[in-house]
Amino acid sequence: MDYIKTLFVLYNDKGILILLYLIGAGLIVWLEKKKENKMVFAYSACFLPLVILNPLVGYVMEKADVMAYRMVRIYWILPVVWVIAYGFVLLVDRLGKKKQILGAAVTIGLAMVIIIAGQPLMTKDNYRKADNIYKLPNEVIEVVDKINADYNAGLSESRMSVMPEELATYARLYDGTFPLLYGRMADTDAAGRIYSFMGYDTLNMQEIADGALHEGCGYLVLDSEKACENAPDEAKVTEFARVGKYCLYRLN
Amino acid sequence: MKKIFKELTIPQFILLLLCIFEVVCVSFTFLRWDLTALVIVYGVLCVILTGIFIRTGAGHSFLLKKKKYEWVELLYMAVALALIIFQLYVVMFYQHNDADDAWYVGTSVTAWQTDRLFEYSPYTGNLLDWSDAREYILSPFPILMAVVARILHIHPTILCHEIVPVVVISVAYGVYGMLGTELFGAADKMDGNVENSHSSYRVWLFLIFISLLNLFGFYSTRTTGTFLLLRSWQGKAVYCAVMLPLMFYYMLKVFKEPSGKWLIGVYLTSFASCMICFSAVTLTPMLVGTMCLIYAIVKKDLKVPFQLAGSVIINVVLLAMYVLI
Repeated sequence: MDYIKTLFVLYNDKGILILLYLIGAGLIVWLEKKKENKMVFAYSACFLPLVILNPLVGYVMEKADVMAYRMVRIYWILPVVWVIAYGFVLLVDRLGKKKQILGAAVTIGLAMVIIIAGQPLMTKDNYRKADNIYKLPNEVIEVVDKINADYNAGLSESRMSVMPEELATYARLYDGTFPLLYGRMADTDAAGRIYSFMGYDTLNMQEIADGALHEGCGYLVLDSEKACENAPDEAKVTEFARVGKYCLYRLN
Repeated sequence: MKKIFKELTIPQFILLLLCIFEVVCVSFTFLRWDLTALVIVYGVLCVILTGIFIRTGAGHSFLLKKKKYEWVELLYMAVALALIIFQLYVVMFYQHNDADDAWYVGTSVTAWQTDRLFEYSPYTGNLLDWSDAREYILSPFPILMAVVARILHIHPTILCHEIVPVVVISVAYGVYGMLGTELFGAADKMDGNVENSHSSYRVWLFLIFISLLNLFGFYSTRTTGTFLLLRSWQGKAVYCAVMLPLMFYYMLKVFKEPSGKWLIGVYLTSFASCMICFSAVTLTPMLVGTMCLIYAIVKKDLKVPFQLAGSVIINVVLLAMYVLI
């Protein structure tokens, strides 16, 4: 049952969306006369108790070790958005037939329900003015360009780099030939070790540099706002550029 | 061939091209052929098929007749279009960085620059172990992006972040419009239907409510609105925001008139969905199964459910391939 609850919360947090969906389905059953429309949009809600909220299905999925963040896609099968909109239009249409002004008032009322009950998507947290034509963080492009220029000047034998996750995730979206020890995730044990070192609040530069060098890397990018246990000299790295808060080191 | 093509509507023809891409791309990946060969072969196929499609005269019903609008319709239309244009404006001029791009867009960029299909990891550039990428090999939507980028001569990241969102959101609202016209019985020329005289204000109102539900649909990061407006260039967004409503549209058509013309829509949508997102391989059969059950109970008929069930054969094949890779 916990698994089903997790899926439910992952999809619609407090359940307002599903509540609106059930209201929409109810309006369709009540107001729609066309049998086929009801079959496809209202009766398909039976999928909810039959599969999505079925404890047996949840038990099987949990035992099969299906990750909840993937399994939550099962909610997509419910025509949630279209059923809500469909039910609301039927209600406006029914009330608007008696008096047009009433239809307009109900339209505005239902729009307010959607706005007040919902969560805005186009916010500053989700969107910001585009940095460049790639719509990637500017730092990513500058860091990749500087490392490529340094490597092309023959100053390092390897272009493979280690960088903070927020840069590594997007670096290859700019240059698809750019080699990384790890990207969004690490795919070897050695890379995983350095990936976890890079995530610490205080960085052990020597340990990271030695590990990266051992794995054949030529470059290291560190967040200068994080504390470092050693100086670059001790770690045998040479700083050759800075991009914002990031220091770019060549591994010797 | 011409006879089959004459039956197809424009959306069905586009779905057919996506299905062909699945077959060609998966074959090329297993044969270890390169992206250039894929671009040439798929490009030639598209040109030939489009030529045949146009010559058969199919899709002419797409042309809209002039229609007089009442002021109420015009008002709803203006609000609906304003909301859709606002969404397009935001995705055009603002950016949202999504970590999943590391795989989806990364795969496109890697293929585009190395000319190899699923040979290098989009995360690191190391050789890719296919057992880690089975579902993406079988649902090669990112490679389609690389093919389009190659044809248009633009970087796949620019394509995915600048052009695809505008196309996907426009297509999504086009599909919602088709769905609305089918539900409310207004004039529907998009998919080759016969016009009737009903007012279309309800369709525009339907689009207004959908727009608002999408714009205020950040209940979680998993809702259709979130996927459509924050990462429309990823296959899963196209599946949940475009292909699933299209599936409901064709289901409704089949339920009303169980003819081959609409059944082929269900078949093509199911197949094309598998190319777009691997989740479709398991989710579409669940949807089709539910619909078959409803049809069998309400209409007390098993013929149509059996015909519909055939639409998920490709899903079974892909699932078997997934296990075998």
